[in-house]
Amino acid sequence: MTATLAATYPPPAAAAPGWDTEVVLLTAPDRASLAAAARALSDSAAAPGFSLPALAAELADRFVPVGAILAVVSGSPADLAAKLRRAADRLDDPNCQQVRDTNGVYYFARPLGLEGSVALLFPGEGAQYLNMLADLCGVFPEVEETFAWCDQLAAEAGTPEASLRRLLHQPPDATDAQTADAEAELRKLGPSIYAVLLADLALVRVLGNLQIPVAAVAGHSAGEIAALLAAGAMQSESVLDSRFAESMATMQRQEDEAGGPDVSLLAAGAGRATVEGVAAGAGVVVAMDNCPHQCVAVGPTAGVAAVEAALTERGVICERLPFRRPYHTPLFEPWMGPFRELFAPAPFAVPHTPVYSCSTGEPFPADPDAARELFVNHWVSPVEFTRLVRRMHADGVRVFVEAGPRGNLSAFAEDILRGERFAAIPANLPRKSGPTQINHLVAQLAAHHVPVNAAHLHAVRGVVPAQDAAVLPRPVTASEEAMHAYLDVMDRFLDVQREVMASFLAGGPVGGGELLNLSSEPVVAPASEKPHCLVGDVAHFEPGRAVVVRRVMDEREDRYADDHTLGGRGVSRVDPAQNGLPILPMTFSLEAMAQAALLLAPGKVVTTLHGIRLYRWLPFDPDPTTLEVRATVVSFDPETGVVEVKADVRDLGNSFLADAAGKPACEATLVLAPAYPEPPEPLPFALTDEQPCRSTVEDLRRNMFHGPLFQMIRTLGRVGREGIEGTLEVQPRDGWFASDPDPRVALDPVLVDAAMHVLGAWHLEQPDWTGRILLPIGVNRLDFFGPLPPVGSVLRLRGHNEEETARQVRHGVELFAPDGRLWFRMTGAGYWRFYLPFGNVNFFGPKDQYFLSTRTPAAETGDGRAFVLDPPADLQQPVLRASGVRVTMSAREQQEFTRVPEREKSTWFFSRLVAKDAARSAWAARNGGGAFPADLETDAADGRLTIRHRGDGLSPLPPVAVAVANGKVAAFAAFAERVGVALEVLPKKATAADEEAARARVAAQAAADALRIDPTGITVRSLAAATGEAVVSLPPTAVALYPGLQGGLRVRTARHQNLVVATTTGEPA
Amino acid sequence: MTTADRILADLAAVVRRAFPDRDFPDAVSDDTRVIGDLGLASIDVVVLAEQLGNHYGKPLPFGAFLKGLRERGADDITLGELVRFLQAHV
Repeated sequence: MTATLAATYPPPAAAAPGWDTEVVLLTAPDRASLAAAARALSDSAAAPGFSLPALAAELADRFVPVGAILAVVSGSPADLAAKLRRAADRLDDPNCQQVRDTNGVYYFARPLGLEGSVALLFPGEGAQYLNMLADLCGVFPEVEETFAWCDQLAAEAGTPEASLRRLLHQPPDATDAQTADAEAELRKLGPSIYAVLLADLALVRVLGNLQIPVAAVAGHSAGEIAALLAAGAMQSESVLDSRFAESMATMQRQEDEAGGPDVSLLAAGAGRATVEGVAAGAGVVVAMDNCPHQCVAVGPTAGVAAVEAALTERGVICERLPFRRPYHTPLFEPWMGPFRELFAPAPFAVPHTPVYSCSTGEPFPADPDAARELFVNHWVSPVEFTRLVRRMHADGVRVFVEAGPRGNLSAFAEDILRGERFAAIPANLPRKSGPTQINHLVAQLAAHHVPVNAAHLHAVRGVVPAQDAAVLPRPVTASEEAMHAYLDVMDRFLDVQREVMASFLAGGPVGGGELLNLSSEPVVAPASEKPHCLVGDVAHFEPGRAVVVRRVMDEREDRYADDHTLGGRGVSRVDPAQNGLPILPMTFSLEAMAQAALLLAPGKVVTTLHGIRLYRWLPFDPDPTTLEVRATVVSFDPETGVVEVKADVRDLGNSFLADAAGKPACEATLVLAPAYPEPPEPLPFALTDEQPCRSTVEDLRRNMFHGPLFQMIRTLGRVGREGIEGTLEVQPRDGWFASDPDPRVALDPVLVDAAMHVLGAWHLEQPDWTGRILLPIGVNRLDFFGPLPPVGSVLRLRGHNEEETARQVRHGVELFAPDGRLWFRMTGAGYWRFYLPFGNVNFFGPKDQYFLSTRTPAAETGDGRAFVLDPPADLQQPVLRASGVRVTMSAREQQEFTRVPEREKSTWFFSRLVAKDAARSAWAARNGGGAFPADLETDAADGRLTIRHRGDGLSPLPPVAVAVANGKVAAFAAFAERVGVALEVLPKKATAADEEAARARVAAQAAADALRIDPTGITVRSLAAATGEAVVSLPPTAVALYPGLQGGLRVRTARHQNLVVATTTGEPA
Repeated sequence: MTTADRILADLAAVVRRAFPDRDFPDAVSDDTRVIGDLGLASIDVVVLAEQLGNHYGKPLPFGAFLKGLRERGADDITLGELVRFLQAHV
């Protein structure tokens, strides 16, 4: 900001006085009652002496978001009466689903507050306008305080007259020239950023006092500053000091002095595709994708002119923007210095409320440094507002509140989500007074059943509610009697609602402004007699609305995990405790969600979980990771006391899936009720081809990867095409956790998991075992019809086969209490069938007896063993691959695997796996018995692997050679001085000649591999098509090294599917 | 030239079709402001322009129309101005 301009500024404008409208919130048990109440109130409003502010204060004080709600913004009693009558007429019409009259009448038959969450959107530069929020300074002390802080910063800098407030809030008697100067100044880079931030911060404080429950925030361009501050990702004291004003002034000086490149900005009334379609080749780029009907394009002035002409020709409305800053393009880098300096030392923290990035449209990364980098670089990256809003909507946001001036973002959101169920509500509009637009905001939130502390509108001005102030005139008229009657009825209705809500909220107030006060208040976990076992820290808690709980996942504490290991158990003779990769059971994810939901609805029981979706596994890392559960109330039925909660589970980082950290792994909707429902009749269970189950319980245990904690099945009964029967015994829970022998549970996740095992027995009874590896991907519904059965109870259970396809199966389970009544029912449990290379695997036998790759005898020489593997896609999935590592590699190898770069992990693992198969097969052929892959250990040196036993006293393993081609692996092991192997993948439709040529090539390469020489000069002397036997000749240089091979050496070639393999032990021809 | 009444009726129908989830006043006049009274935002005006173009089956020079309004210092559009614009171009 320049001193010259500041010196001429007038003193701060006097705040515009008062409230020009009121918001009236009518609540009734149902729609018909609401229409009647509106008419009664309309009559009362017409009475002499009626006080609109007093009525509004009275109703705001009583407001509870239940029942049917009508919200009216009105400027006078007559206006209110007219709007109420009109609203009542609309409510009489059963086809009317909503009233959204921008003059201030709002009613929604399907309130969005019950469907999803609320998010704040913070506008950035461009949203500022002269005198914005001036009329709120005298209304809300928090707004005045925010602008006073701006004055304070200027005073601390020794230039009180340069306070931006003096520019923003012009006095009423400002001349046209002064106004024009101020508007021009306000368009500049520094003032624009600063002004909008001021307004954003002022409004977010108002919203905080209105106690709106906020689930997420995001900012547009410079609005990200306010978003990050509001969410606690940045602390205000670290940014908002005198340096901020200085930085803005420095950026402005740069702009004034440097002038910048010759660029222009064009706002085009069209979507990105249209603009990019004509911008291609002109050097013009879309810097802001605001919505389908607005993009801002930036580029050289001549190019922008060409784009403007082309778009105008197509009928697109275009407007050149009155500044030349190429922000949100790399050309803005010259302005970035002060900005980077300002934010480089600012400490970033994990936000208490999710923040979405306008650069990516995704939530900000959890890592503070990564978040800072993304935030700062937003200025040189395109604004992706369309993507951002769509993502937030997809994540469950239904109500967007624009926490800043002008209302542009709300209009953008309206355009982006046209046709979807959502609301976008600005907190401020230039065309409405500040207090009136706040009233419209409160009215719409209330009508959408969003909890809002409407009393704040009156607390700051001392309006006495009508009943206490006795403002109603005497004697009482007929219309006033009607008014009293309404208030009496509403009192009774609301009393009941308050009791229900009070019970529902466990006595806690709704909201609390924790998010919005820009300070990091400690979050206090709700008290209970003993925390549920999966509730660790409560990171965010709005009683009755939303909760975020976190818990560390640690194999040492979570002992149940060691009994739920992907890849199985009993994988090592050397280390009997070595198992597969511990994975959080789906049922523990459900239990965690149930426990979080019970925090929101204490005293209730979880009766149903539906819409369960599993997106990925949650593996246990060697180092503890953090599990996070987010739960939000989506509906509450005051008549039945039933609460619906939507929840998800995620981990905040793991070493397997770097991109998945922080994204939901499992989600579900939970139903909580005051009591369990009566159990229904069991599902039909007529069995076709019925017979006794031939598999034993022991067979079942060997075929499941679950350990003893989960092994509850006691008997297996009749089985048929439609399902199977059995019994299970409820087991103690004292072994689940290291530190808690009596964990408090909501569902008993081990019992629910164990009940599903009967389905494993059903699959054992099927003739075709292909695709028998089953892992759950989702469940339609779980229902509980009673409290947990006591430990030791023997329950009858039925597994239902609902549907089978090549890739999926769908099952159901019913579990019956000892009294014979249904206790639990699961329907629509979808399982993905995994096709792993286990064709010859004998699950009934010990795991040292089978091989995961395929033996190819045709490629073997002497006592050698050749194995090949074409790793299936399923086994290359990071978690399954990691589970493979856990069951086939030693502890040292597992540690080494974690250090291998991601792009090399598959080759690292599969080459060692096949090498071990070849070596242990050759060893077993000579010595008898078997060896577990995990009991062998590989070492890499000079580009080759050597393999040895982990245990003592065993004869050495043979040398091994490994070849990798296009991800396929071949290995050859033999008790010989030299071993060599080569591999080539044949193209599709390869001819016999192609194959013969490939055999010749791999024969030469195998010889070179065995002799550790360059294959150049090695020739194939003969190749027998029938046997694959080849004789290769060495060049003179090699013969000099190996004189015994002067006559050549023998190589065996073979074809396996589309692979051509060659092996040799260097036997002279 | 199409009559002003007919265009106003078209306009009302297009507005209701373009913004089906909003309530608009039953009665409007030439003086009704698109932004101030109907509650449309500037982006909505772009959408409305597009819809009117679709309704009449031809692109309309809304860009020039709005630019002219801006140059006159207008911060809103009345339905009367819109009707006259449409009369001249449809």
